[in-house]
Amino acid sequence: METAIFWFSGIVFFVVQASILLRLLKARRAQDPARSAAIHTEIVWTLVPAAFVAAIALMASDQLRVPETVDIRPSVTQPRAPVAP
Amino acid sequence: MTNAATRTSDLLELIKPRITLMVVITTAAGYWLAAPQVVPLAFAAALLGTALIAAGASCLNQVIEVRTDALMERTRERPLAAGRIGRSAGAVLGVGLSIVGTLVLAATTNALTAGLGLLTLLLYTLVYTPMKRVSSLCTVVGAVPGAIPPMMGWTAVTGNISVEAWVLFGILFFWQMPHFLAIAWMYRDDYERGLQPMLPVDDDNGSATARQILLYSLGLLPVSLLPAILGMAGGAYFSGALVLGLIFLISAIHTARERSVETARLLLRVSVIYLPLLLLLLAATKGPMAPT
Repeated sequence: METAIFWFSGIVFFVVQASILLRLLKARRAQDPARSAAIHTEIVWTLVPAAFVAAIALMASDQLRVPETVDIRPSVTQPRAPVAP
Repeated sequence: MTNAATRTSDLLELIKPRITLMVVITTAAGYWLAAPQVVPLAFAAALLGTALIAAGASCLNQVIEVRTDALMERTRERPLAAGRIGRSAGAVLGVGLSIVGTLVLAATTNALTAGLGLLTLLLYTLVYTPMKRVSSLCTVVGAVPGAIPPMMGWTAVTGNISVEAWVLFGILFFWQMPHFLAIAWMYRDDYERGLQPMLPVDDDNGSATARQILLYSLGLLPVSLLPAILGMAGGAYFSGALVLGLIFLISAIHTARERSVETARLLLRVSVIYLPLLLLLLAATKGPMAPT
């Protein structure tokens, strides 16, 4: 549950980040040169947090896996119950 | 006020006691989380060294910014800007505190922690401070030395930068952005007078500032939940961090929508309450899997 909430909040963050980035990229083409520098600066502002979250998610990737369904089938290496003579 | 009292108060102002205290608290949090058992003397020495470096960096920051500080209403009464303390005296004090702090860390912790202390100092004084006159990205750069202290607390115990140390760094890094953008919004005219192009200065309708406040507050939420997932803190931490993060986020959304000095002030207050509560929660619910 905790891992799922973490991933949900992370996905929301990336969706918002991507939409801000797209909006800025679009505005960069439409803007006059005077505004261009400010938009370029804001693009960097927008990329930095995404890069950090992605890096830390990669570093902690082992611990961040959503637990898989537990397999209750007997393992092939599991010793069998002794067979009655 | 007597001369001696004024002098003492000026010297205290030179080391920015509130910022230094915040640095000490965040370092203590990192140390506490990493240490299976806290050794009081080693703990105190690590905090002392970090505090001295933070004090030295604040001092040197005011030496470098003496001219711009004099232009801004918010900073013109600082001892160096007002001329009550000479620039060279400030520089000597700043360099002295920084050297002693680095030596204390090197002698009582390890080379990595002392190196991180030195890196913090250099980033703050030689990169962030000059960059304040060039680009609003100085806030992003300045958040790096601001986020290293809890990492130093962690490395003082473990001697390495693990993913847990990066998580502590991340919490501080993300927290600082809405915090400082709120301050910059409140004092945008003052920053313009001081020729410091903070993000709100060139942002007439506040849309860029609003977007970034929202984005970094949103990023803070998953990063602040990570300690529970990585086993650094218990389940109570997760619930508490989630509630605190949502309150922070609601305040950020409110500021982003209203874009007024009042809402920026409210966000600033929420941020000032948020961090100590989060660190307290983290310390109180410290996980059993502290590294050795």
